[in-house]
Amino acid sequence: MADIKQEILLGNEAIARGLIESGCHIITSYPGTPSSEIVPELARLKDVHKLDMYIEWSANEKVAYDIALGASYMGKRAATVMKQVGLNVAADSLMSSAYTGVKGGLVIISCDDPGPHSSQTEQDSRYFAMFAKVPVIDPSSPQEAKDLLPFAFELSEKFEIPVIFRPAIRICHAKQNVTLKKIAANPKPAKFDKNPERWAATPRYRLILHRELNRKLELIREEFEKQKDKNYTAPGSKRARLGIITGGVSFAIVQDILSEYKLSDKIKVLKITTPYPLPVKLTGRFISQCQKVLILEETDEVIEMQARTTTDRKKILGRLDGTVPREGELTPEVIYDIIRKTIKKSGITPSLPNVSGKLTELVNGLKLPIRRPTLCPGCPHRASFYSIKKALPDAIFPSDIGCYTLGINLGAVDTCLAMGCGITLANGFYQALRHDNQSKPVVGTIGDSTFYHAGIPALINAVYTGARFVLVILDNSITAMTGMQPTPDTGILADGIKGRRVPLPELIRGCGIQPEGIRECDPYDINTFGRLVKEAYDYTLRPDGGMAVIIAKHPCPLYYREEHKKNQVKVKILKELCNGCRHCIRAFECPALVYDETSKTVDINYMQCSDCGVCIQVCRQKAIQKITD
Amino acid sequence: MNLQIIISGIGGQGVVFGTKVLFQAALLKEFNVIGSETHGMSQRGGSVVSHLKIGNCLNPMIRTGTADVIYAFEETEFLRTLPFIGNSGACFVNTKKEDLTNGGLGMHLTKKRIKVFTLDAGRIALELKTPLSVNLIMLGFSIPSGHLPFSLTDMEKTIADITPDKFLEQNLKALRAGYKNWQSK
Repeated sequence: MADIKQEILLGNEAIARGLIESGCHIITSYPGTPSSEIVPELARLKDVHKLDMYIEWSANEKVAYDIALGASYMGKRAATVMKQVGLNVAADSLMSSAYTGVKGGLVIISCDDPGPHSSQTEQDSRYFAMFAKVPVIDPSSPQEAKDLLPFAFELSEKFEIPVIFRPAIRICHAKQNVTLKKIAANPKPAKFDKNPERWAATPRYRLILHRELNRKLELIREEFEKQKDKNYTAPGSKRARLGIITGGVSFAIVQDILSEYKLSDKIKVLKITTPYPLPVKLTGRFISQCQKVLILEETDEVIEMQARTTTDRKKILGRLDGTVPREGELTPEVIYDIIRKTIKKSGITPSLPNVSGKLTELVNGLKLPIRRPTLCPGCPHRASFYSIKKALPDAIFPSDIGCYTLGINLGAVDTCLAMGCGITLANGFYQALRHDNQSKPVVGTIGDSTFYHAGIPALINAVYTGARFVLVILDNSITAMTGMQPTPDTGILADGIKGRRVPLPELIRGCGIQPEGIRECDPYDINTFGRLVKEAYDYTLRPDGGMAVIIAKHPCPLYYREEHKKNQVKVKILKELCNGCRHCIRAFECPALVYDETSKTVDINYMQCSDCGVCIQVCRQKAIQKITD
Repeated sequence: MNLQIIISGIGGQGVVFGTKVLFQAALLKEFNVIGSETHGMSQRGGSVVSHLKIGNCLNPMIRTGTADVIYAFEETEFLRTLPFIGNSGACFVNTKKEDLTNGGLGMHLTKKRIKVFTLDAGRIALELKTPLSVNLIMLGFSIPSGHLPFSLTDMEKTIADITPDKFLEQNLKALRAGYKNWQSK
């Protein structure tokens, strides 16, 4: 059949394909690693297959969630995509909508980051599902992730409940040959069935909805008991000394180890694809067939907690008894070691061979230099942080989440907590200092995309309560760290079409900042920018002053490559003027500036240099100069 | 066919494209293949490592000490990912150095029958006037070693399938240049 087609797909690409194979045609999202590739792939599929789809990069995850929810209230299949901490932002609506339920299937794709590799927490979206009282599905491979999505939508519609779908980063960024199925149509017309008792339930009626929700969960649990292709035991039902209950990426790792060492008929495995609500009868039966049971799951003890309510708890080895670490990724090495020790304890012979750490030990002995992440050569944020630090070296620097968090390397980032905290923590610092009548400069930094996400209520609050600090909005006209997604300021939509711009300066005025309080400057102009930072701080101290905002405006040289090339400034170092003070490396930190031990001067690595020319203004000896020919 | 390959380098050296070529080559020969990539930190000057497993594997990550082949486009990244190699494995490294692994490390590798094949692919890339083709030169270099289940024809066909027309000639040139430079030591 023409349908049997295989392609190499990234996990996120397989998920995008799964959405269109499910007939889901309304998808909203906010960028966040490891979820960011799903929407661009949907935009590509929409274009290639000429699909009738709506795809949106929303201002933040709460907005994204609500829009998808609204579509599902109207009977459409909808999905919303985010990283696991984005679920925190959408939590208010998620929790409430579990009670109201949905009409068209609603699937929340929340991508977890055990490790964490690039998140502020390694929280477990399955736990969130338990908290919100909605079912959660945990795929073990890109192929499985794609094939489970139609089931997720059917489940959501059958029980009229939002469903969380949580692929971990090792699924999202895995690549696999994937068999494709047909793209499904979405024939359901949009229709809102008025029912204020349900959709606008007042607190009294919420109690009834909660009772209904609890009943739904038990029905879903029964449903999961029957899903034999999703929750299954291998091999068969015979008794075993050791059984392993596992799901997600951990299942894949366990399977490979057991088949590699031919332990598959000595050690039983129970795969759980639906960790909440856990099919407890199936789990209990499995545990009763084993002398000991090891539970391997990421990131917290969601299966374990529910499993421990089923039968003899003393049989269970997991996080709660210290067998499995309570933090960090369950890498293949960690799982191998846990299984090896557990097999030994359970008396099965032979256990897995001991791992020789000799090669690792030898390599560690080489003390290889660590490549820490750093701002790209030419990044305007580098110039901004350099100027800020130079102008107000004693300031406190609350910052935010984005490429600019790497300003930490320039000593100009003191906090990074959650979206919008570059402003709110600055506000908190200000109030604490004021409480003591202390005066100390506070300079908050936030990116343009982050500002649209969470900065507006924060800035309104600062104006409204009379706070006085400097806010620098680092506007590089793109959401860079997550892979170059558009913002409401660029006005470009997810599928590349022009939308409407919501310009930044007007927005800042709209939050109540006075015209005298707003400054805009290209951070590449270090002298002017530094002067503006000092002026802004002075403005916050004046009796007739107030909040000060500086827009540091310069487009990202990586994304806006052509424009950057037009303004190239090629530079060279005059060796006779360079005294090796390394101010340029220490305070400016450009990776293209390299210290040469032999000549005890600085060199330019032209493979890395982006010809931004900013270093010319940085060198105190005037040793860096423009090449004029 | 079971084969586990690590590909490492620094951001900008084409680790991701090199991995893509191997994935596609596996697909063309109808092998099952799964692997993983580093995403995001590569442009910020970081290390980039891809894992690729041919065979009926479910887990996309290679465990330390179990890789059959390492491709390393840069020396420090080679050493950093060296713990992945298993006994009797083969490493193909882009380096100017004649003696990359000496002393205790070299002795350990010999003892475990781990071979390290080096090539100054950077120089060849500059000679070809395609400075970004270290990845394909290294892939070509490894073909005659017998450690890959792909022939030169297999790889040429794969590259033709996934390369846009304007880059096809230079990509094939790079692959063949690497292939010609093979010398078993």
